[in-house]
Amino acid sequence: MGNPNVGKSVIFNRLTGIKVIISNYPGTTVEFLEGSIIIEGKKMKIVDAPGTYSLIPSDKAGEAAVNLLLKEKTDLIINVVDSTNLGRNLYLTLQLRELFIPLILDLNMVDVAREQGIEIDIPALSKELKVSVVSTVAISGEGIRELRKAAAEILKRDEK
Amino acid sequence: MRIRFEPRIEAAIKDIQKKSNLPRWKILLALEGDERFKKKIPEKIWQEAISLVEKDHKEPIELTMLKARFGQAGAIANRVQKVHHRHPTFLEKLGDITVKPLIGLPIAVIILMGVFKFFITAAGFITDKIMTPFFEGPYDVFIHFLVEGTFPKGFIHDMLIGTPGAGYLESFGVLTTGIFVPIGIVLPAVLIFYIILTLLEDVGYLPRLAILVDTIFHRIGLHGYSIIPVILSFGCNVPGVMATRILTSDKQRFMMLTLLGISIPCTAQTAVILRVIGPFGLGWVILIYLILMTIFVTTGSILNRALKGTAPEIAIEIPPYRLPRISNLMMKTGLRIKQFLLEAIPWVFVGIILVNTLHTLGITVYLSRISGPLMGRWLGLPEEAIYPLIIGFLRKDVATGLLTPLLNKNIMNFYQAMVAVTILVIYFPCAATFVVFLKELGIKGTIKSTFIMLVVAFGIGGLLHLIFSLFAL
Repeated sequence: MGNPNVGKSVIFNRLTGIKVIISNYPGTTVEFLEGSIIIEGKKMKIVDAPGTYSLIPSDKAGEAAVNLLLKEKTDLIINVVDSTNLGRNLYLTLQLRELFIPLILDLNMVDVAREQGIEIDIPALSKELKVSVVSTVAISGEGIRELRKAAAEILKRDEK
Repeated sequence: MRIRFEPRIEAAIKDIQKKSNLPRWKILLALEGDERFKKKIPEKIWQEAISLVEKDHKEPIELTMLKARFGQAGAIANRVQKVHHRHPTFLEKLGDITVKPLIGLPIAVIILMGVFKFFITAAGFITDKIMTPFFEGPYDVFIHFLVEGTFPKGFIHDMLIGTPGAGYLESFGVLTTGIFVPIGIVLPAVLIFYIILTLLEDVGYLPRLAILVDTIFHRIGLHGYSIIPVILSFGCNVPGVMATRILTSDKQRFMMLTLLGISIPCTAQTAVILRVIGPFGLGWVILIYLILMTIFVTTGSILNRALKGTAPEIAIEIPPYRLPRISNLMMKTGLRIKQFLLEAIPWVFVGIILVNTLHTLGITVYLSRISGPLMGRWLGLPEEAIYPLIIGFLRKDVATGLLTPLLNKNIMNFYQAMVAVTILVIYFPCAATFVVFLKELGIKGTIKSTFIMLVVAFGIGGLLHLIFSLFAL
């Protein structure tokens, strides 16, 4: 989950190998896409949700994202955020972490942020929010392995 | 570990929690404006809990919560990130310039004109220089050999390869016209269109175009972002219709869908219009587009006044310009081509089989006779024009293609063809689009929308006929 145009579909594509339409504008994904991913030998369902700024949605696509979250049993939310726009993106993150569903924060587009002179202290952010934080550059695939590992760890921990 | 709100809000949350037994997150969402959870809290408990907070802040609780959350998010962001100042890059400067009306509008006009020119040149080249020679050469020999070996003549022969001696656009056999229209004419256009669209999308130009057209769209009660469903619909109405979900109110969605159905021809249709009308001069093709644009704006403003409901404003987020990636471009174009082939070809076949069956059974003669008065008096069209209008319910490209034999046999003159083409664009979306219409609007909404389309189509058709007969004939 995450705000519009932060690269959720690219992450989904990287994690599942399923081809989805990816564009550089908000609102490309308006329906859910389901795929499966194998983590530690276990097959899991993974959903690419339409972008939303808040859990109180303003349009149909965002509403659909929230409905899914509330209806289905979710083991883990990967919250993709735009590293160049941290403040605005964290709004949704704060709402998500109230839900008692395990959460991974994925700082996407860190390359662009770096270029723009934005440096994010990942350990500090992780400590502030008390969630795992990974950084990725989805279009080049950087950090995807770490994201998988973080997801596997959380899922394993919860099984115990 | 949770993030605390200011004491008054926390007190309100605790108060509700104690009296209603709901978990904290549901109460938080209710306070932030989620109606579903708000309903679960009895009105009295709710009022008691929030009255102090609302009095304190002199604003609705939702707004207080919004500010509080943004404050928290901003504070965390500031604590964990360091921002170094530096000069804006070339792409960023370009990004700013292209949304300024004075410079941005001329740039937009140049880009769109360039795109149109490139589209018709490149697609025309593939059709004329590659597809047509192939279909009329080796393919034709092969298919005749294949079919005539098994079915020397008769119904099945005609169904498969159509009228002997007629060109590939007119013969109306499943294996001749049925393959040539989608592959030979439409596919090149679809390919070129989607390459251009994907480039514009990936670079990040479309949202900037949205800002530029915002003023125009506002007049008709939509916001600039509506340009995205519109542009997608020029490719195919199906993804265009799906994209209307980014619009906020039901009224806006209904309007947008109806306008898409009425005035946006898809690539398949554009390609065939270029084939049929293009030879008479590109000016005529552009005239059709101008008519459609006028209809878009007029119908839009009428609907905006006539329909109840809100048209809220939104803030548009503009992504940065990014360099497109070839791999994404190819993957996306490939996906879209595949979707087109899967969606279009079966309907083209159904359309052609239907034309042939109706013709053989003599039903078309009957239909022509009963529709004759409307067609003749009001639209000035010959009885035979009922064919394309019926097939138009299934596929617009086949329907437009059906006009060619009528033009060639002088059953219809050029002005009548113009009227027919325009009506075909307006009066009804194709079968695939109709299905997504049903999904998005429900039966009632779809009927309402279809009714508007029919009224506009026959209104404009009559008007055009009147104008042509006054000035041209």
